[in-house]
Amino acid sequence: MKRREFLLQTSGLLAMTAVQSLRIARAQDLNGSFPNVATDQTGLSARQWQTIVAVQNHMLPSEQDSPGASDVNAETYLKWVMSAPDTRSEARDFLRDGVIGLESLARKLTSKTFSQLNEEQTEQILRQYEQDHEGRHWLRQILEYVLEALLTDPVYGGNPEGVGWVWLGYQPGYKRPPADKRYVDLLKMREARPRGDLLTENIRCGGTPPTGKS
Amino acid sequence: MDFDVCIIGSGAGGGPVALTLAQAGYKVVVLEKGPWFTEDDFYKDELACCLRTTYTPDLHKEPQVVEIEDDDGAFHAQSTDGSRYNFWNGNCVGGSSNFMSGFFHRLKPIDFKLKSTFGPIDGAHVEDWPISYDDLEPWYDLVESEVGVSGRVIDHPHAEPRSSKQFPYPPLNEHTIAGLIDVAGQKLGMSPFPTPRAILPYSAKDRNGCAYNGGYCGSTGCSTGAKGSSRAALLNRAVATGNCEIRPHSMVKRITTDGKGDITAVEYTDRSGQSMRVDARVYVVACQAIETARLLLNSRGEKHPDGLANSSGQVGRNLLFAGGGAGSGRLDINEFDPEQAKAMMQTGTFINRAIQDWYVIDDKEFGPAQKGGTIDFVHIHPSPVSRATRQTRGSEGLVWGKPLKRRLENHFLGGPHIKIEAFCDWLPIDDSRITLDPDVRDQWGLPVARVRAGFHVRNLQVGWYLASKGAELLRAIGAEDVVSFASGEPPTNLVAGTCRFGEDPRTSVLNADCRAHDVENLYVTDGSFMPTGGSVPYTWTIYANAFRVADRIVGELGGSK
Repeated sequence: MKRREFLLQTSGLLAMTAVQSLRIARAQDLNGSFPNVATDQTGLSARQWQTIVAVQNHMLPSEQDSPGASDVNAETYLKWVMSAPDTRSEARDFLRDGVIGLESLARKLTSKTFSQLNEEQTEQILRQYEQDHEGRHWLRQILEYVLEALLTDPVYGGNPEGVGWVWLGYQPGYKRPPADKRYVDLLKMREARPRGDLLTENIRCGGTPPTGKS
Repeated sequence: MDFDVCIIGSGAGGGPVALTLAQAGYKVVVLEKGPWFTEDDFYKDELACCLRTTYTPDLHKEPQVVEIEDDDGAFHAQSTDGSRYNFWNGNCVGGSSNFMSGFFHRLKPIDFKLKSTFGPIDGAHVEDWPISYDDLEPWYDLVESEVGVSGRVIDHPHAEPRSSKQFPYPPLNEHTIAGLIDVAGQKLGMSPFPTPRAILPYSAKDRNGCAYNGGYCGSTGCSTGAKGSSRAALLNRAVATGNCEIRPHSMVKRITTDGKGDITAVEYTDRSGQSMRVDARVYVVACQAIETARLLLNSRGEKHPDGLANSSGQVGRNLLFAGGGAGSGRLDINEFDPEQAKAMMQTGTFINRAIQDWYVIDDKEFGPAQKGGTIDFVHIHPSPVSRATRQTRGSEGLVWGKPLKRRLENHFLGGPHIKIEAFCDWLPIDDSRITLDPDVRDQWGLPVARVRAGFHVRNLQVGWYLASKGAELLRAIGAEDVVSFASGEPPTNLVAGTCRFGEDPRTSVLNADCRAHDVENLYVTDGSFMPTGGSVPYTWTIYANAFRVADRIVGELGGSK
């Protein structure tokens, strides 16, 4: 983790070629390098995740010189999103219902499970699924999360070694978020808190505890 | 009395009042509904700034309702929770000024007398201002030094008069594209000029200089303090006087009044959910136009049955946005030698160019002389996920797989994109206003703001005209894929109006000093006071006017201590 942070905080990242960064990213144990946060609150079964991974890989395939969904940790990233504190249960339900819909369409049209389909069949089924309003919405969302895994800050677990940024020549701005200031940490500063915690907060802010009459 | 002055809202409207009054020796409290973030909480993090709601409220807990007009002129209402609209622009100490781009343009003398210059416009409530440019000029000037504005004054056809010769800070480093615009503009007979920015080019005023993130300033907080947010430039200094207390997490629910109609206190809920109240000699509301109107409408009293300061029925009316036209183009990187290409592809420095040649459009083909506006040339926002997501939209459905990857390579690596932002004078109309929603409540049980966001067709005409002039210039610098268009969609980031000021208490909410006609000790200092918007982003005008009003309040309270 330290080495990765160091690399990304220095200009080393920008000097890397796409192929170099891809090689480093592919040599990593992605699950091992993922930030230590919950990814198990998704409410989906292992088989359902298999289907999602197959869709992700189809939408952003790995190529020799450019990263795909599997190179940018898209599966674990999405598991983290679904487990994040600001993700509503409706979002998890939507993800699960979408998988169920896709699996049943695959069975109906091919008598196979989705993850068994070859590339051509996968494309056909997904295009068929896209004709359905809900299906299209679901596919758009899966694709958006793959792009988040590709291009958000590596502190969120996707985009290892900035592999997506290097591929697309993106120059990150100053400052990049440290591990203790991801947006979920900032949300804690935003939300209401029990009264006992307030004193510290007010001192940090340079003000004094409210004295108004209640 | 708990305080001399109670300010509700800590953005560009609240900050100048807090600083001025605290420096004059008065005890000030600022109630801010959001948390107190500092530079250590602002990052160039697309997930935080733009893909999740981090610096604005959770729309599930604090929705608004938006009414949008369809092609047949019918309005449809929907909650912003789950919609693509979000009218919150930054709820934290410093407000949305933390997240502005800081493109700073002044209004011009003509903006203060549109009705008497061009006459009325059918279907719009255009009015002259009760003050002139000369009244506001010293305060624009003060903002340059107090907030920190950088730039270079050059003469151009609609340049406004100014009392200082130059800006107090030199311009930020410019992108190669700025030079291309200057050359092409001159050839076309246009007058591009450097866009002033509320950004320090180097360390000054106990703030660090710009870290050079190019197009990233808008939507993200500044990690160095270079951007002149109300927090970095004004409130930190107000607190340092020892006379200003800022209370974050303080959601003001209503302003209470007695049987005579005088304000008795401000009621708010603190972070733990406890009800609090505070009283003061003077009250200042500056919650941004939409929420200011909502707070006044929610503050009914025996003498204020339709909402505080609303005997005219004008609170919430004549909501203004800023925008109207837009466009973009792209330079082909293959047209440049490697050295030039490298300079073209760096995204740290700023384009910072604007054109105001058509601030008044005197073009017979377009009609009689009328108000035009400003054309800004800027980088597209660098947020990579948002840009990549746009590449997934194909004419026959979603684009994915290898075709998407090739599109991404073309979009990100093919050359720099330049965006046109065209600002018309967004017209005040009946169908652009704030009311209280009869059904939807926020997490505190308060009626939420209902935003009726209609627009006048003139916005589209002028927006289209200006954007096409911008497109002409982009073509002249060799840009490809140049498009320009106009839109009546409300740009949610710049809002004004809803409590217009004027001489007549029957047709305006505030007097020329931005004091409520109905309530002796109530002032409104955000963009709500503006009867018309000018054809520029509002922030500099809000800052300048708030300093002007703060000076009046100091006078009312008996002068500096």
